[in-house]
Amino acid sequence: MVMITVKVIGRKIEKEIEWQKGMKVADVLRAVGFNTESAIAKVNGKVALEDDPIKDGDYVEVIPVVSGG
Amino acid sequence: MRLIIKYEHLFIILEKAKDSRIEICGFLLGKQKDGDVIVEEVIFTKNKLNSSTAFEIDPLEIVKVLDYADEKGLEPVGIFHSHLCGPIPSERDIKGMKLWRNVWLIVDNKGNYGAFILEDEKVKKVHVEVIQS
Repeated sequence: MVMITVKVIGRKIEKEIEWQKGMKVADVLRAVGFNTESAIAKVNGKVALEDDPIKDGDYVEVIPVVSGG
Repeated sequence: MRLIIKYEHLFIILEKAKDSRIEICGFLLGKQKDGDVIVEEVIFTKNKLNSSTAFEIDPLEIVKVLDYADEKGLEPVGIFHSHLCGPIPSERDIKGMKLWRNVWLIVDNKGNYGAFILEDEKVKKVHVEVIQS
């Protein structure tokens, strides 16, 4: 089983999720409870788009939107 | 827990809030030490909603702030924004606090302020200690 590390900025959560063939950024966001409306992702330090592929061993940072008022 | 912030930093946030017709917002950068949050820098960001009752920070701007914080060896220890009514967390704020579990400093346009954090799913008040630079 191949894993990738996902860190949710702001919530100080860092966890490992199982990597699957054909996995995309949108899949990782969904796996940690976000979607492309509520967060963006950086993969290995670079801002990534929702359809960008995720390779095994990638490091993904999830950056939630900040909102309130 | 205390939010320790320099007078000049709090003053500039309150001044901007006083002069603004829309909610202002941004990040408090600093460090955590012995359970206290120490603010070392204040970063103003654009209110993407341009609203007097709500704010949102563009994720790409957040990335820039986080990269800058990394370079300076600082953390995003807090988020600040203003209300045109009293500085108390709204329902919308609480939703935001669930995503960003750091200290939320809320100010109004009359010089009032309060700091809050979400712990055990409850909003808790954080004492604000204002220090001279």
